[in-house]
Amino acid sequence: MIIDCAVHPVMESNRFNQFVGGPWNLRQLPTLFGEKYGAPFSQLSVPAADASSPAAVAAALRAAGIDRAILAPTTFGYWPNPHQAIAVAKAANTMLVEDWLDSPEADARFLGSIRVAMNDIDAALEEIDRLADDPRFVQIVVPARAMATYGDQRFFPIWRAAAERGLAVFIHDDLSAVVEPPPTQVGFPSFYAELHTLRPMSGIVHMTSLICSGVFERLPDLRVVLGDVSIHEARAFAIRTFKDWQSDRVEVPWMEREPTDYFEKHFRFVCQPEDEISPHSRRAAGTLGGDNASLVVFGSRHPYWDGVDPQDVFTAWSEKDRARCLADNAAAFYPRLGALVTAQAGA
Amino acid sequence: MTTATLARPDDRADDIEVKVIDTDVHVEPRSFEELIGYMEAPWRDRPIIERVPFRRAGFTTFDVAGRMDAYPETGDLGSDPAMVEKHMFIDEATDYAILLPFSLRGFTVDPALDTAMASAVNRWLDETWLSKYNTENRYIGSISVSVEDPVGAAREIDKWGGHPGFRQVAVSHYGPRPFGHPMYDPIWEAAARHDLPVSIHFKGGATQPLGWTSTGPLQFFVEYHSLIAPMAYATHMASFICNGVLDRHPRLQFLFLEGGFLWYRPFIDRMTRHWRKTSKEFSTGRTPLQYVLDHFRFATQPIEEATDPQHIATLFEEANAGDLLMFSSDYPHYDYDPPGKALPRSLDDDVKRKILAGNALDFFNLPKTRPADRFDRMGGRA
Repeated sequence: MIIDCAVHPVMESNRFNQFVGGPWNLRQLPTLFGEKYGAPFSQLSVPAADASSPAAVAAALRAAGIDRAILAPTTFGYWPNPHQAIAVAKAANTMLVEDWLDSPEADARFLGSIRVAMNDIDAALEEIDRLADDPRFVQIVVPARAMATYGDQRFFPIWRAAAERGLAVFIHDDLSAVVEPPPTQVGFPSFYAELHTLRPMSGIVHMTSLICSGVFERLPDLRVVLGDVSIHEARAFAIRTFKDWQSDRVEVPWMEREPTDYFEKHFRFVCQPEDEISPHSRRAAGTLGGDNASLVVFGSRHPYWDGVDPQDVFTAWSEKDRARCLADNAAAFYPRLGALVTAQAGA
Repeated sequence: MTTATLARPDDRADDIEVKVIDTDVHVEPRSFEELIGYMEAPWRDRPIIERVPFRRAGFTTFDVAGRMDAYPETGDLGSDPAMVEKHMFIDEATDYAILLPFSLRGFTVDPALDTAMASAVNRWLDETWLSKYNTENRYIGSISVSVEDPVGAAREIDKWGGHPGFRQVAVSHYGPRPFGHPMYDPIWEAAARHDLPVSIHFKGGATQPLGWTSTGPLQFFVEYHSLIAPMAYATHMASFICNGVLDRHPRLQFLFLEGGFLWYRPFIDRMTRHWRKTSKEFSTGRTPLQYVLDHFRFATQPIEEATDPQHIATLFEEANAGDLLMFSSDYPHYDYDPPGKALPRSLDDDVKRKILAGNALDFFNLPKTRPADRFDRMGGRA
């Protein structure tokens, strides 16, 4: 059994614009994200038509031995006009259901993510209500690049709705449209190589923000999956926050447990290509803040160029630990996934 | 005085071995007014104090908080020479203190004023802590410059680069673009010209959106203090590598202060994983990890720690801590780490020796021994 927690179908532009509808389908949507930084190579690992084809994506996953795949199409970052943002999120969700989840070629392999507009909380809650009764939606997806850190109270109703509905929260970097702050806190880097290297930062900021602002004390069932942050990157920063918290905890009295405890209980990390070469990855157990093997979930990032093949995941680990990464951790962590997987096993 | 001692050959038989170098010690003028006396015309006659911000104005919980016993009866934290030398060299077995002055205030919105201020700080440091207060030659200076005035910064480096008491260039972590951007080249060229390393320290300032990140502003000091420095340093590190600064200056080295170090390895692994593909936009001669080993060092305070000593020892080993780390205390700030307690006990002795002094001796090109002096006797160590 392999559960793929990060598949990013590319919504074909013309059709997506039909779903967005007038008057908000004002511009030709970019086919890929990150338009400020053009990669010096193709960002897709497959022909563009295959990245937008449910049949082709299903075939690729089937060939890789993937039984279940959580789809999180990107929607090109932050849309400054909230009406357009709502229309884009709604279009992505509707198109996901009609073209992908209901696709006959998908043989029930696909699961969905609810995309919400982060600049209109009421609309986001309505969108969650509109779709959450469909058990194939197992998470909401929010962009890693936002206008505020996710511990900010303005976002709390979204996290509460996710927790109450048994939806995980997937934080994924769509890279940006044009209006987000610079990709680093010291301005724009010069090259794609830098941008790619630093991409985990936004997810780490949200992780720290959710922990320090006490969201998990208020929502003990909330589960967050980071799509662009390796376990090793996350751990390095969690340890630093743990260190600072020891002297600064008076400022955040609602944190009743150590930062690394929230880290272990409420976060999972999609495996990253750098895990394949990191010395840290050799160790499944005996690591700080929980064993590595309990905190990672598999994500192929199909059809993007920096994907991970299930065969290359933590090859130094025992079969049992690799199985935890490839399926067991996800089944245990996503509230809706356990039931689906059990039903399939019993069928 | 400093000049004579630090330039002296290090082979005298009665000298003692240098075992502890503290790479992050903040000394200050008694008050900002003292500094104005060192400013050149026309600056000293202009209104200045109101324009110079305190460093963490937005996060007041720990604003300018010092070690409780380090406040002098009069004057600013870190401004009393008798108190600093007691805390540094008598209470602790520290041999050399690398001074990073002027930590209480940040730079302004006017780059010309910033350079005038940096220039005053350098003259003041030379006339006080590097001479008058440096009776036993234990203090080592940094040339303060403002990165937002690269040409003025280079001029300042050229002014002091031949002074043996100044052993590095000191910049703060923030700039409008990552530090490999060609706009900063005059600073790195000047440092390389004088064979001086560059240290980068976390510091507030008027042009920074304080606590702002790639995804909006942070809310709490604990987030700010744990994320901002390492995130800025990771960005600068990638920028130096990709923009060819290290290829143009093969001997130039950088020290990242107060940013920890565990983060560098996973980010460098990430950069390395697809390096052949992603590096097509520029010329590069080495692997990302090789650039780190050749050019970057990290100060310890506030050191990453954990309840299980074996876990932290393994992480240190994976991050080449023995070669890349240098001890720092951050005296006299609230989160001061004493040299005897700064390092995880589980590290082996050779690694500890390199972190406490060996790596800094190489980085700052300092003599490996020094004469026993008054502080050794007062501390009961000689």
